[in-house]
Amino acid sequence: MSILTERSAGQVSSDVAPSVRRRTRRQSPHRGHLAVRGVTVAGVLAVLVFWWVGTPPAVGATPGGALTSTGELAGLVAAYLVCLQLLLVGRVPWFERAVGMDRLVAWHRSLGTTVLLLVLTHVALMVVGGAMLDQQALWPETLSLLSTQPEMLSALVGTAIFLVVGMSSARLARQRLSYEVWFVLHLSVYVGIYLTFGHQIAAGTHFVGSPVARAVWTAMYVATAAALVTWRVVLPLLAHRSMMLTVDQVVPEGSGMVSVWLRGRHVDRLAARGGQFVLVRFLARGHLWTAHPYSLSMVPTDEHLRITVAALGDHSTSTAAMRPGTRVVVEGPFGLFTADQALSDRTLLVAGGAGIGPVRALAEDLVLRGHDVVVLHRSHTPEGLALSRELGGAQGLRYVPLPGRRRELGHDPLSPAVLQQIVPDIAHRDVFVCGPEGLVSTVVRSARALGVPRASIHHEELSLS
Amino acid sequence: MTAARWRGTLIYTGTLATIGTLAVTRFGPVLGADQGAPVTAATVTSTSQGATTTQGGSTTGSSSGTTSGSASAAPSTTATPSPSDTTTPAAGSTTSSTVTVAGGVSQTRYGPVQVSVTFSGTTIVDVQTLQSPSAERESQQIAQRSTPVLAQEVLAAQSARIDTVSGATYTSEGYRQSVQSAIDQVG
Repeated sequence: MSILTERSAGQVSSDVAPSVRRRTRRQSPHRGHLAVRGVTVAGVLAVLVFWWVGTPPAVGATPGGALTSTGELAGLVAAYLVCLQLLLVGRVPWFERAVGMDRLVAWHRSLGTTVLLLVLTHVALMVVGGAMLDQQALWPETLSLLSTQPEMLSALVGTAIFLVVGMSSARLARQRLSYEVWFVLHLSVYVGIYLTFGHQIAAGTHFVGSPVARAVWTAMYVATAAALVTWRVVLPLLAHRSMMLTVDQVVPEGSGMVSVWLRGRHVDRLAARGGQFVLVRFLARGHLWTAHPYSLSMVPTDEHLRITVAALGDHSTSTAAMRPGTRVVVEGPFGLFTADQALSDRTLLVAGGAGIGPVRALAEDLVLRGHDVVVLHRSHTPEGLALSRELGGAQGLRYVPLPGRRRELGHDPLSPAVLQQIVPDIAHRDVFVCGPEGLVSTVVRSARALGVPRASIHHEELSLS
Repeated sequence: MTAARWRGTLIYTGTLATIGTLAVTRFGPVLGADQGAPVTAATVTSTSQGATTTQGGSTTGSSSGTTSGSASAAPSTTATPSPSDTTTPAAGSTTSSTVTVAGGVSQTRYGPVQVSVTFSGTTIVDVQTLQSPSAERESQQIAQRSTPVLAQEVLAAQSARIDTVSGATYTSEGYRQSVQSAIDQVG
């Protein structure tokens, strides 16, 4: 509360500068998306050209030869996409700024399906094509491929790992597996990638005869690995060493939500903005291996960082029991759910559940920039309105709590009719929504019905895994 | 969300379509024209060429060249007549007791492999590659790289029991068979 009200007073004059910055930055998300998509497509094209140049038509003189060669192409594309997938979730700053982590993760997940299917296609075509070339049945051909081609056994194991990782990430499996189990399974994919690399270089017809192609392909893998090591391991560890964050205190916020205050040196160097999130890894038993995305629930000061967590999963529940003094490694900040997205200087923020954390921090940032801010806070019960103390009565901000179940209220407070009553000028505002998926889609629908342009509606997925 | 749900599958479908189109464009003309028939023809001509040159080299009857050439469709059976032709005159002109025998053509997935083996008495003193896969640039490079190694292995082992050269599995296997057929012909 104090931070929000204290700072809002002096900052009204800086209205002009942000609006200029907004206009220039506004284009960037879409340009960024296009750029990343462009890079993706260009890479696939490069692979296709590489295959085309290295494949004289004579290879396809027999149906078997044609199938085998096509299978090789499928494998090449899959290998390229695997590297791209890793880069998308490699916390590469350029990708993060251009697209934002939630969408990067979504793309990573979509590409995962593509890669899995391509790998299966590759295997099928190699076996069927090979069987036709050697005039053998499928099973003997499979065995002879495994025994005569170099690095094939490790490739077999690697492919099995790919399958397990792929299936454990399927929607059905994700509903049953805990995050921790899934995460450990997912890590094993690095072993799978390592194991399948050998057969590409040693048995791939496009690489065996050409040292240059081998070098380029190896370089692609090495570069990917280097990016991962840099941005997922080295830089976070360096940041950790300079900040030395520890848990300062854990404050209950009502109905299962807690705020975790982290204390460290020069925390403001993170340059985190309201609405962004960080990946948090508690250095405590049972937490070491997993980092979770948590939104900042205030703009960090030079000493303090705060996240507000709802007890949703195993991890967030035990976070509530975290002892002060526990060391914490923080990665980030990530996310584009920030004041930079706003097109006008009037904004409506809608929060539900744990969404109040980022909305609270975003509101702080927007008020500092001199925006006219309305915050709608949905909750099933009045006790569920976490952080409401900090929002009520802040200058330059109208806070509207909307507690109660739809059943008991007899109406949906986020329906177009009600929304129009609460915020009559909604059509002229930027709408930021953060909360459960159902709430987000309701608000997006209502806002669209009330004439808010698509470009003025901003939301980010809460779940990243 | 529904869009994202199937996005991976859609991308896969698109990629597969692209790959398929590319493969059809690349291979369509060759495949569609006449299902492998020209290939066999090509093989036969190249084989007879290869055979004639060898026989020319070892200065034996030119008629045997045609025999082995036309026989190439079923190398194992037909390998027998042509060598008997080759061996007998060579053994007849036993001036140096050196015999050069052309091995059978063995078909690999990348193309035909054929060698000639030179015996001095019962010792293998030389192995020459008459044919090796050359349809693709890679195959050529693989053959260029692997055949000298394979020849050395044969000389060292004095038999066709040789190790596979890595990255040249099929060429190695074809090489082995062709060497074996040459050895079999000498007896």
